[in-house]
Amino acid sequence: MRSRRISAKKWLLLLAVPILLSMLALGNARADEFGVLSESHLYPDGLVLNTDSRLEWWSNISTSADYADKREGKSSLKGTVQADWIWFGCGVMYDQDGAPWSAQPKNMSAYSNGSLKFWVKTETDLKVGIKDENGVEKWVLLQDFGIAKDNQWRFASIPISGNFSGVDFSKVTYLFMTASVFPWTITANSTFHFDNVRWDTAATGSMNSIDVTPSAYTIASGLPKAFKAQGYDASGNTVGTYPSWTSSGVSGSFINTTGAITIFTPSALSGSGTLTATDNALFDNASILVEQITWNDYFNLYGEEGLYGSIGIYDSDDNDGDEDGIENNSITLDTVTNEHPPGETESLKATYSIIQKGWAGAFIQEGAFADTAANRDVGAYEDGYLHFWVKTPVDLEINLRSLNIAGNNVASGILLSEYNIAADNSWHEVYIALMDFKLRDARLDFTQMKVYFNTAVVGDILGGASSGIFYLSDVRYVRYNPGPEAFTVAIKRRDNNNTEGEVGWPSMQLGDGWTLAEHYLEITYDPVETAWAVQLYTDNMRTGASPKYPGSPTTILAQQPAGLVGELNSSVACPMAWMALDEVNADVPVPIETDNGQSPNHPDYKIYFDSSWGAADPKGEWSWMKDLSSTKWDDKNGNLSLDLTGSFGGPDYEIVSDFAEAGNQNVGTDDYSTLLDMNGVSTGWIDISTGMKVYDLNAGSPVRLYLAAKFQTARERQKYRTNSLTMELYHE
Amino acid sequence: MNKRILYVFLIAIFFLATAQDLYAASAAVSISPVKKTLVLPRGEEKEVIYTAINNSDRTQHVVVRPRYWHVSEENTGIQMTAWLNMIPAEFDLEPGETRNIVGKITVPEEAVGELAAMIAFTPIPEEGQALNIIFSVSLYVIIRGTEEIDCRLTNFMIDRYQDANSLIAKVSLENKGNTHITPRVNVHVQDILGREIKTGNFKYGKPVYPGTTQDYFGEIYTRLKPGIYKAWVDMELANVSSRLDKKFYFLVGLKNRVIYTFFRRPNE
Repeated sequence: MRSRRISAKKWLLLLAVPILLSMLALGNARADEFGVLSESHLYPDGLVLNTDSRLEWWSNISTSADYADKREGKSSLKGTVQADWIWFGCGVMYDQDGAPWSAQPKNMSAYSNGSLKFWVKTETDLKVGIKDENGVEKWVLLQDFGIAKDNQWRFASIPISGNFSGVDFSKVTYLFMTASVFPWTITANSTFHFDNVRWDTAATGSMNSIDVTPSAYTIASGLPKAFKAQGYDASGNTVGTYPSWTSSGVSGSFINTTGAITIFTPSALSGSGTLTATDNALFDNASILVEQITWNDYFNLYGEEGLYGSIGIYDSDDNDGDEDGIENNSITLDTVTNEHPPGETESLKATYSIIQKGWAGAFIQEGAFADTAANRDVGAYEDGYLHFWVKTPVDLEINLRSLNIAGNNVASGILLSEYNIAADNSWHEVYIALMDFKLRDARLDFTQMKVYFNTAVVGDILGGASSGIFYLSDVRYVRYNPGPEAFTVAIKRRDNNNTEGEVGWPSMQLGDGWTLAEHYLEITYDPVETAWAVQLYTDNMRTGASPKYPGSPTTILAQQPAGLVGELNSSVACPMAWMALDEVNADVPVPIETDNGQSPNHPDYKIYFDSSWGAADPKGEWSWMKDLSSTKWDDKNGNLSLDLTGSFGGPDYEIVSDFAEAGNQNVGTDDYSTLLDMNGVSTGWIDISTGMKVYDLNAGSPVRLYLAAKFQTARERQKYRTNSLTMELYHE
Repeated sequence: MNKRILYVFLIAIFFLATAQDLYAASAAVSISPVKKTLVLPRGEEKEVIYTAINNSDRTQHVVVRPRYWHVSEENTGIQMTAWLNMIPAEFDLEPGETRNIVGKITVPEEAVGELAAMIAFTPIPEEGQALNIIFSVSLYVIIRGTEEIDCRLTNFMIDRYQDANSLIAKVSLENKGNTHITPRVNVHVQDILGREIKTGNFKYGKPVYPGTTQDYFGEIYTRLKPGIYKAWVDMELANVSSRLDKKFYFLVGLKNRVIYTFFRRPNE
C-alpha cells in the first residue's frame, strides 16, 4: 500500500468534483425548513422544546415521547386520550423568554406560501391548526388530506396558503396544534403520534425520488455503519420516506430493514456491493466496499493513557419537567481499577440517579469548562470510529457536539440500543462510525469539535426513574492512517530546492575542512497525540553496513565510527554534523569548531560549534553526528588518566557509550541526537536551568536537515560513504 | 608549494529506500499503539498486542528489539529479558500486510515503581539503501502497590511572547516519584478577582521521568492591560489519575510586558 503524490493541478481537479457535488447536495438539503417538533431541524432552523418552546396540553390527554415508535430522530410525540367523549388537544407554543407559559409571537411570514409537514399516525379523528398573537386560529381536518385513523404512519404536507389563511403569520404564537374533532368519536386510550413536524417555505408535492447518504462508503468488516434515506418531490423539497432496505454483493445484516436510517454490519471480510432503499417503487443505492481495516491512529479520550481535555457531569435539575427546584437527579464519576473490560486495567464508574423526566450524563470536552471557545480540529478522524467499552444496566444516549452547535441544540444523539448494544450489565465493545453522528446532525463539524463524547441516562427513554452504575473504558477516536504520509524524507538540492535521489558533496581538495553537502533533507511528519521525536545517527558497525567501520571505539578512543567511511580503506572516517531548521535557508554557514579551553588530553576536553546565527537571530545550530557505537571518556575515578580496567560496560572501564545520556541506562534514545520533537525543532541550545536541550522554532513540518562533513581526515583518495544513516521515530 | 589535489569522488551516500518512489523515503513499517501503559502487580503476566503495517511496496524483514528506557536505580538489576519477551523477534511483512506482535510481560517480584522499554521495529535495509527509518514505541509497566507519585511544580514563568498580543508560560514539573508522569497542563490567566480571561493549552504527551524536571511551554493569546493578574496552573497527571494545581500572581506593565512573577519555590 503506497501513497502517491498528486500534482497541484490534479488536487484542484479532485477537490472541484466533491465541491460541485456538495453544492448539488446542498441544493437538496434545503435550509428553508423550520422545525417545530423535529430533531433534524433545530436552532437556528427550529425550536427546541423547553428551551424556546413548550408543549401545552389541554384537557383529556397525556403526552409522552415514544422512543420505540417513530419516524425521525430518537422519538416521536405520543398522545393518549384519557376518557370518552371529552374534547382534547395540545400544541407547541413559542416561548423564547423562558417565563412560564407566556407565548411570544414568531414571524413566520416567509413560510406563508409554503407547507406544514409532518409524520402522523392516529387511532382517532384529529385536526391540526395554527394560532396567532391576536387569538386567530385556523384548523384543517387530517381526513381531508388522506390521513385515515387506521394507526398507520403517513407523511402529510399541508399547504399553508388557503388552509390557514387569516392567521397573522408575522405573529404566530402556536406553530402547531392538534385537537379532537367529533366528541362522539373520542374514546379513552386511543393514541396518536406526530413526528418531524416542521414548516417549509415551499409547498411540497408527492415523493419523486429517494437519495441515500452516504452514496459510497468503505466499511470495516464486522463493524456497523448507518445509512440514511431522504425523499424529495420533483422540485427538490424534502418528503418523508420510510423505505425498506436490502443488500446485494456482500453478506451482512441490517439492524433494521425499514426506516429512514438503517444500520448495516458486513460479515464478509472483503468485497463490494450495494445497499438499496426502496419506497413505493422508488429506490436509490449506496455503493459499499468492505475491507479489513486496522486502526493505526488514535485520539485517546479516556483510557490507560489518561484523560484528554476536561471531563464534566451534568443533570437536569430544575429543568426536569417538574420545575420544583428540587435536585432529583445526580451523577458522580470515579476511576476504578476493580472493574474493567478485557485488556484494560481501569474504567470510569458513573453512579447515577434520575427521576422519570430527568436525565444525567458525563462528557469529555476540549479545553477547560470556562473556555467556551476552545475547540480542536479532528477532521482527520471523520471517516473513523468512536470506540469505547461500556457496561450498563440501562440504555445510554451518546452524542457529540462541535463548537458551532449550542449545548442545548444537540441533535446527533444515538442510543446504544440502536446498535444492538445490550444493557445487560456486561462489558461490550462499541464502535460507532463518527459519520453516523453527522448523519443525524449535518451541522456537526469535526474541524472544530468541542464535546468529543457525551453520554447520558434519560428518564423518558428508560420509561421511568432509574438509579444504578454504568462503566466506560478506553474511549477514543480511531482511524486508519495511510502511513507513508505520516513520516517522509525527501532529498533536495540546496541551490535550487529541486528534489533528487541522493545526497552528495562537491569534489574536495586535500586538507579541506568542513564542507556543506549539496543537498538537504526535508522531513514531514504528521504526529499523533503522543510525545514523539526523531533522532539521527549512523550505525556504521552494524551487520550489513557498507562500508563497515572496522575500528574498535570501545578500546581506542581515537577510533570513532560516526560519519562517512572510506570505501577502499574503511578504517578512515570523516565526521559529520547536522543542523535542523524550520526553513529553507540559502545562507547556512559551514560549522566552525571551538573548544572549551581544556587540554586535548583532558577528560573534560570538548569541541563545540560556534553559533552560526547568534542570539539575536536564534535558529538551529550545528551538532555532531553520532554513531550508535560512538564512545567517550568518562573519567570515573577522576585521576585524569584513561583507565581500562575490566571490560566495556564494566564499572571501572572508562570508555563508555556516547550514544545515550551518560550515567543511566536510557540507551533507547540520545537527547543530543534528537533533531525534532513534539515541541519543535532542535535549536542546539541548552536550557541552563534544566540542562535540557531546547526544542523550539516552528514545530510545523516540514523540517530541513542540513549536513556537513569534515574531510581533513580523508587522507586517502577514495569514495567516502555510508549506508547506515538512520532516522528513528520514537514515541514516549 | 604544489597543492596536491585530492579527488575525493564524492559522494553518493544516501540512496533511498525504494526505486519507484525515488525521491521520498518514508516509514516503511509503522506500529500501533505507539505508547502503552499498564498497571500490574508483581508476578502478573500480561500480553500486549502491537500491530505492524507494511506501508511500502516491498516485502520488509523487521527485527524487533526492546531497549532499556529510563531504568530506575532500584530496577538496574532487572534484565529486559526477565520481564519482556517480544514474539516474534523478527518477521517478514508483505506489502500492505498487517500482523500482530505479542509482548509477553511477566512482572518480576523485585520490580519497584515502573519498568519501561523502548521497542524498536527495524526494517532491515535493502542493498543500496542508505537512509534507514526505524519506528519505536514505548511500553511502561507501573508496578501496582509500589508506585510513588510525587510531583511538584518547581518553576513558573510567564512573559510577553513575540509580540504584544500573546504571552508565553513555562511550567517546570519535577518528578520525585518512581513512575513517569504525563501531565496535561493548562494555565488559566485570571483577573485579580479570579475571573477567567484566557486559558493556554499546552501540548500534551511529553512525560516527566522519575528523578527529572521537565519544562512545559504554552502560548496564551491575550493582551493584558497593566495590572496584577492571577495565573492558575492546573495540571492533570493523566496516567496516574491525579491532579496538581497552584496559583501565582504576576504584574503586567505596558505592552503586555510581565514585570514580575510572584513565585515561591517549594523549598523556599
